Amino acid sequence: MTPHWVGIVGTGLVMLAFVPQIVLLLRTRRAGALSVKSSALNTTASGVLFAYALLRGDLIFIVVMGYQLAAATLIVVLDVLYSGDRT
Amino acid sequence: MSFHDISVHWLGIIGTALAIIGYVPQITHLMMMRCGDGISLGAYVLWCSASSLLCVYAVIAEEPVFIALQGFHAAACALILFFGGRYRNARCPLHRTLPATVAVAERRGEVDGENAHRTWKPNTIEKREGK
Repeated sequence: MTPHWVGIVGTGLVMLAFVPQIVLLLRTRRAGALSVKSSALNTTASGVLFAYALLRGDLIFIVVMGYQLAAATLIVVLDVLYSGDRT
Repeated sequence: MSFHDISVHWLGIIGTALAIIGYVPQITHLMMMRCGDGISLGAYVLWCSASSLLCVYAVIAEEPVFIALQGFHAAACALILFFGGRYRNARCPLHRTLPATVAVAERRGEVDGENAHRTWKPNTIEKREGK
């Protein structure tokens, strides 16, 4: 397996990884113990790291961080919508 | 290394630091309140695997910022997975009292609605405060 394949498989898994959490949020319409603060900080981190990946010019990390930014933003929105509290 | 390179690295370091801090509220809530409500274990299994692979890729690509980021990410996901699995059916008083929590758990067949409050165990804060 070439180094790029390791990155591509990792990227594919990152893309799949957001699906169960987003599906759970949409299905139950409840954020439960999912932390809004954690989600918000992760989104900010993804934004900064997406900019960093763009400046470094590594395609794998550009795709990972770009997707992570979009998915993390969606989780924050759902988290805030379905949160009855702020953990 | 030029000034531009140093500035670019700072961006990555700040992003990595934010990602590290970002896990603190989630892990703290899991560990202190022993509450795993709303956490998808499937998502964290995949995140943990993905981060491990991306950490290997970052090592090969010689990207120190992404080595630190993905290494920490994999460790944090493993920790959340461990505690999330351990407290899967446990809910803290705050999440337990929300009516939808019981309804959803009942629908999944995880708890008996009338006995749902018994699934939560006292946490260390309450023990310390003598509540």
